[in-house]
Amino acid sequence: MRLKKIVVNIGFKLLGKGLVSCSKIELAVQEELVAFEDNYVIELKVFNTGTKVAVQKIGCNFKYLGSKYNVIPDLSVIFKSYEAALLLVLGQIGVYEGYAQHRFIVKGDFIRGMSLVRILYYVEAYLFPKFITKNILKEMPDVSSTKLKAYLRLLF
Amino acid sequence: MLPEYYEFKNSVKIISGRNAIENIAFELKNLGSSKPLILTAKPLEENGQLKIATDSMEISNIEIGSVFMNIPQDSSVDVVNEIGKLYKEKKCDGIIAMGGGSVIDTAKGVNILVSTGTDDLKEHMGLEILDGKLKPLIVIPSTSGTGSEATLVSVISDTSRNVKMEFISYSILPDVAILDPRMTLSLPSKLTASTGIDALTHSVEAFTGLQKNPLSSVYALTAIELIGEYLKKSVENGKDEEARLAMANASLMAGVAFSNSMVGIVHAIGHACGGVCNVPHGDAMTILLPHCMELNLSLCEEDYSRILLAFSGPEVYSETPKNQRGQKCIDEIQEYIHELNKISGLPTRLRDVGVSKEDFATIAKTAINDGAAIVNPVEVTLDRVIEILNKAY
Repeated sequence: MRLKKIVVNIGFKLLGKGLVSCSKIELAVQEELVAFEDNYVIELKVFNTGTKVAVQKIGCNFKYLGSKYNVIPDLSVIFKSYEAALLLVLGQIGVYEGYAQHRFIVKGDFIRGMSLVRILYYVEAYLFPKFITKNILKEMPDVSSTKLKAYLRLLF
Repeated sequence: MLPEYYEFKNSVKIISGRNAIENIAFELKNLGSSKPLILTAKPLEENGQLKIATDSMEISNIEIGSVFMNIPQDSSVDVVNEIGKLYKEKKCDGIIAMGGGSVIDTAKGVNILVSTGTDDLKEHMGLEILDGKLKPLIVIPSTSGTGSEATLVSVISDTSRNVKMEFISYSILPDVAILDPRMTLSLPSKLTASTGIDALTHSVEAFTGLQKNPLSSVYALTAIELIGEYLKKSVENGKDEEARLAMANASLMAGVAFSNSMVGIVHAIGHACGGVCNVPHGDAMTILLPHCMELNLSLCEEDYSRILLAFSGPEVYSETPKNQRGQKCIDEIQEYIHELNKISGLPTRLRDVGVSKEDFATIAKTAINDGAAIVNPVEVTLDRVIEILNKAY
């Protein structure tokens, strides 16, 4: 379990940073974010554990809040277990499959949740290699930037 | 084929048949309710269905807390709050919803409010957020279409913020659903047809969606068989009790199916047409279903083939070459809708229900944000929605 917890923590960190990275390089993500109120906080967490990550919408981008934040999230995606979160962070299932398989619950406005789903499609498209995305995305979204830029933004 | 993983729940006790309403007192007692609040609509009082239920309760010494009838077409948070207050004032201990989709959705909203003790329904908005047991809820549907008597969904409008709040949780499932043919005998033919197509759409989308599972599929296919056999009969002769009861069952089964498998693009666009242009839900389903099936056809050939067998029967199925069964299924449904149009005046084009081309962009934007879009086989994009709207216009 300890290893799973570590992997999910790393995965969440990458997902959080991935959201920030994509919000800076991908036009479609920026367009999605127009509909979100400023300071809107999105959280990913594992049910009944301290494993979590959050991002906040500021302007047209996301800001990384990490795992130590004191704000109440507007939208919370809560994985039912570490195993459920692992499937997603390791690219074994995609967001829509995660939803279809009831791997997570969603607290908050589901309309915003649908925007987040589409944003996560882009994060998956940028961060995962092609042999994974072809299995976890219904179809590859048209991206306006490159994987290299996404990785660079992720690291720096 | 088994999915890699699935979840399924239907805890609703189903009571179906002649004189089913008269069992309501017994069911209330079973649930530990002795003073229920009744939510219903004026026509059901005028047509005598409400009296059947209240008489049955009086005979069994069950006190009726109150009867509330002023429920709007779209369930609203203001009405839910008003009824919640009434529930507490009258010290009720259970809810009976007798009516169509808005009455049932309102009852589910009231149940969340009075069971959780919250002041703000918004707190419970989301997917599988609610837990624990809510107050007893008995549903007696008066249309055969929404399937709300067996679903985990409730949609309540927050008019002050101009948003629709979605509540999707297993706790919302009613305790008992009572299907009695007397509930729908007076339903006009056009409404019978459109609600029936709504049930068909639930079944088709539940059977072809990405969340489908072996149990939801059984319910969906059985609903499709019943609809194929009985919908036209109930539209042609509203007094046909056998057809009415069959459609009530089909609607419930379709509800169980989509409650565990979700719906798809037809509902995503249909909800948007309702929200933007006030298109009645059943009409939107009727108009959009064949066009959306065309979009999904390449990924749903095999599923549509099985729907063809259930909907049109073994003769049509066996006469159709294997590689044409998917398309044949869509053609059969389209033809069926045209026949219903001739019998009842059911609309078949968006232009006939108050949608103009200027609304397309707003409808499309709303549709892609609908939760139903996520498990549709083909990705629901703005361009695809616009294409469907143009075809359906």
